[in-house]
Formats: sequence, structure tokens, C-alpha cells
Amino acid sequence: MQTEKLKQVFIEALGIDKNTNIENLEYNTIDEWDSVAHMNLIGEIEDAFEIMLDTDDIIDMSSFTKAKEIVSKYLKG
Amino acid sequence: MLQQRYALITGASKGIGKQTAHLFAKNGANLLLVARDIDTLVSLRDELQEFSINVDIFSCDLTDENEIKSLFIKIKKVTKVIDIVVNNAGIIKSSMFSMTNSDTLKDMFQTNLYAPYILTQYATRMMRKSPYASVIFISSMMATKGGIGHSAYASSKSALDGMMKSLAKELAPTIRVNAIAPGVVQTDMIKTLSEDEKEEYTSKSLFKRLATPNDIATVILFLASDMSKYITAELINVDGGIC
Ligand SMILES: NC(=O)c1ccc[n+]([C@@H]2O[C@H](COP(=O)([O-])OP(=O)(O)OC[C@H]3O[C@@H](n4cnc5c(N)ncnc54)[C@H](OP(=O)(O)O)[C@@H]3O)[C@@H](O)[C@H]2O)c1
Repeated sequence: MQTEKLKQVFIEALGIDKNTNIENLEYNTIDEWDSVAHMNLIGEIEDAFEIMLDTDDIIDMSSFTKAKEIVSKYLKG
Repeated sequence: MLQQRYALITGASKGIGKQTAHLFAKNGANLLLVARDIDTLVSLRDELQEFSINVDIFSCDLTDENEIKSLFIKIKKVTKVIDIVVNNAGIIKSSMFSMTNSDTLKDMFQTNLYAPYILTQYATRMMRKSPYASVIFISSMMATKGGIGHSAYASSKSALDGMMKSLAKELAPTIRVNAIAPGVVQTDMIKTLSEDEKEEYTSKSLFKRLATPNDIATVILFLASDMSKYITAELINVDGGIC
């Protein structure tokens, strides 16, 4: 799993400081990661990893850790 | 008017969708055309060859969520950004309220509501980087006026109107979301109407004629273009004043 690449996507899509503790990030716990930003984040993840996420996975993506797990599932095919 | 923009049109093979494809092509849009019948889409692509635009066609049964997902995987190979989505594919099955079974009701909701709902979920993820993003739903005058024998169709279309209004609020200011409510339009969809019914709708129209697909397509073009850039959450009646 390309964790660093995913971190970079989070930084750019959410517009957060690169020093943020991304590993511990959770949905709706910071102003930058609200429901609107979530859709932007999803789009950026899809573009960066060239995948198409299912709606259930979009709903489940409630933290960076969960995002890592979901993206790696798609990359494994 | 739409140069360099990518427009996705569902139900593009016939009627209103086909006319919209022609009008968008004349106005320079690149087209992503969707319907089930690939042969009619191939003919349409041939017709559009005179325009200097990209035309990609996709056979997809929009009632199948997996097919919608595959559609977007294919579209992503053509373009990374979609600017315009015209949710036009629709079906009608007329039957009196007491004679409408749950299968008919489900079919109508599947095509007229769930399909555009799910398609728009995928599409809007590809629209967020467009400075021109516009989603257009094709509703019906039946949604607000109702009609004898149209309880299932009318309810699916009024649900669509509610979805449009909510989406407009959620997706603003990045994506404009609007709908058009046509009256009775001369397409294959009204083949099942009797001559008497057509005459009745003609006489109710303040223009004393039924709508042509172009009457609707021109308003779709308006909503897709910058001419309507301050319009969102709007339902435009294009019904010749039928009351
Ligand atoms: N005509 C009217 O009087 C009227 C009035 C008010 C509103 N409307 C609305 O306007 C829209 C267009 O209607 P129209 O009159 O142009 O109808 P039409 O001539 O019957 O065309 C319908 C289009 O939808 C496509 N379609 C239907 N089911 C589909 C599915 N499951 N998956 C993919 N594509 C599908 C059809 O292509 P395939 O069969 O190849 O899939 C066709 O291209 C509809 O939403 C309709 O409800 C029409």
C-alpha cells in the first residue's frame, strides 16, 4: 500500500498542513474534512490510484486508517 | 457555446436525448452518449461526424448499478472531467392506479429515479474540477400536474424533482443542478397515446401543438451553458402552457 501517496492526496484534497498527524485523522473531527470535502477527497483518491470506489466504501471511509484499508483492497484487485 | 466541454447524455439514442446530442454537437461539446441499444448509438455517432468534436458511445442498462459503475470506468479512459450531465433516459408505463402492480412501480422508479441518482453520484465526482459544471434532470409536467393513468410515472418524476432541489443545495456553488418539465413531446414515448389523447393535449397547449424534441433540447442547452450561470435548483416547465 502506497501510504505516502495516500497521505499526499489527503493533504492536497483537504487542504491541511503537511505536519498534521494524518495517520490519526478521522472524518468530521477537523473543519477541513466535512461532507463536501469528503466527496472531493474521494475524487482525488480515485484519480490518484485510478480506481472507482463503491458507495459503501465511500460511506465506510471514516478515517485515514480505514481509507488505507479500502484503497489497498482495490489495488489488490 | 459549449466548446471544449464534455457532456454526458443518457437516453441519447432517441427523442429528446438524440436532439440534445445534435444541438450540443453544433455548439462544440464533446459527447459521451449512453443508451442500451448500441446500433442506434452507432448511427447517431455517424450522423455527428460532420462536427469537429469527440463522440464516444456507451451501451449501458442504467437500471443495473454494476453497469453504471463499468460505464464510468470506461468514461474515465476518455476524460478525467465531465462538465455537463443530462439525465434524460426515462420510461413510462401507463395504467390506472388500481391496476398498477408493484413491478410496474419498481420499474418506473428504477429507471426514472434510482438510475439518475446513482449515475449522478458517480458523475459529480468527475465534475468537481469543472468551472462549468451543470447537471440537468428531465422530469415531466406529470410530476406537478399529475395525470390519469400516470400515478407511478408522476411519482417517480416528482421524486426526481425533490432530489434535484436537494442536490442543488448540497453541490452549490461548484455544480449547478436544474430540471426541465416537458409537456407532451413528439417522440417514441408518446406512441402509446391514442389520437384522441394527442388531440386533447394539443388543444390544451396554448400554442395548439405538441412540443418537438428541439423545444426541449434548446432549454437543455440553455441550462448547460453559461447563459444560465446564476440559475440552480430550478424546475423549468416547457409545456406550452398546458393547464
Ligand atoms: N415524450 C414526452 O412526451 C415526455 C414528456 C415529459 C417528459 N419526458 C421525459 O423525457 C425523457 C426522454 O424521453 P423521450 O420522449 O425522448 O423518450 P424516448 O424517445 O422513448 O427515449 C428514451 C431514451 O431513454 C433510453 N433508455 C430507456 N431506458 C433505459 C435504460 N434502462 N438504460 C439506458 N437507457 C435507457 C432509450 O434508449 P434504449 O432504449 O436504447 O436504452 C432512449 O434513448 C424521459 O425522461 C421522459 O420521461 C418525455
